[in-house]
Amino acid sequence: MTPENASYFHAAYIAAAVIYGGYIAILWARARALRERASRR
Amino acid sequence: MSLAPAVQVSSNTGRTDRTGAAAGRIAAFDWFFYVAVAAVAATVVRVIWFTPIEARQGPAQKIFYVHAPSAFVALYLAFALMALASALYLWLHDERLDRLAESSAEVGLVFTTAVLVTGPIWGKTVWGTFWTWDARLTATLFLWFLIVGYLVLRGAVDDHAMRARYSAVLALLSAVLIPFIHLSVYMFRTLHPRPIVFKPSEPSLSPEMLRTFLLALGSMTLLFVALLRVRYRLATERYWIDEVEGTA
Repeated sequence: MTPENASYFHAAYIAAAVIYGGYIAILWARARALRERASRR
Repeated sequence: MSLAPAVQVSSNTGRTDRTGAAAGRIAAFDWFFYVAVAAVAATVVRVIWFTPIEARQGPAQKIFYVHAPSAFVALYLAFALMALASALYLWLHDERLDRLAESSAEVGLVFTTAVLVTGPIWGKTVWGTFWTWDARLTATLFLWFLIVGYLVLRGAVDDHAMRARYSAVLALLSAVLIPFIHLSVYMFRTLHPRPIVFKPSEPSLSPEMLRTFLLALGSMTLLFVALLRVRYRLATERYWIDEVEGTA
């Protein structure tokens, strides 16, 4: 019988989305901060 | 793959025209990044709606399509590239190689984090526990800490040349773990399964599942290249802004 464990599948994909999405947000924030630094000069 | 910075490089030492940085032209996210994100989104759609559920493990087996490609990219692309760029830096002393190693290490750390989070969630359903101190899991966690140490070291040393040299040595020492992690499932009795796709015999997956896995591997590779390009550009721009401001 196939086990009912879809919640683990959903949890793993949500966690992966948070990790990759979070890193993309960090890169975006860094790019923005660099742009501001460059424009101040 | 083009790792060209937004400013023009004028010699093999990575020296650029400072007016490039002064222009503030920082276009970190380009079309390649959006193509990679679209490819990953398409893969997730295929995993959820167009890939069969494995009969014995249930829906949780689909964690495989994010866990295994992330591990493959982290170990065999990101950290291998980090080690190669570090070795070449020690030989050629080209600052672009140092920035490439740093960028690859950081992006690889993100992929390894995804591996270390999704793996235990899958493990709970098949092993009955989130974590076990077996060889592959422990070695992967150890590598994660080493890469964190590598990035902390880079932040702690101000001198450019010294930082690049020390971190290149640490990167090479960390990379020794890559073949160990790969072979750990053959060398030790572990709970972690052996490879089911990249092995001498036929893959132990149905054709539909294999196609989904290969799509996931391709899209995660694209995502790695896209993130690496963004991270490398930011490292290059930051370097030149520091140079112009005299803080490098």
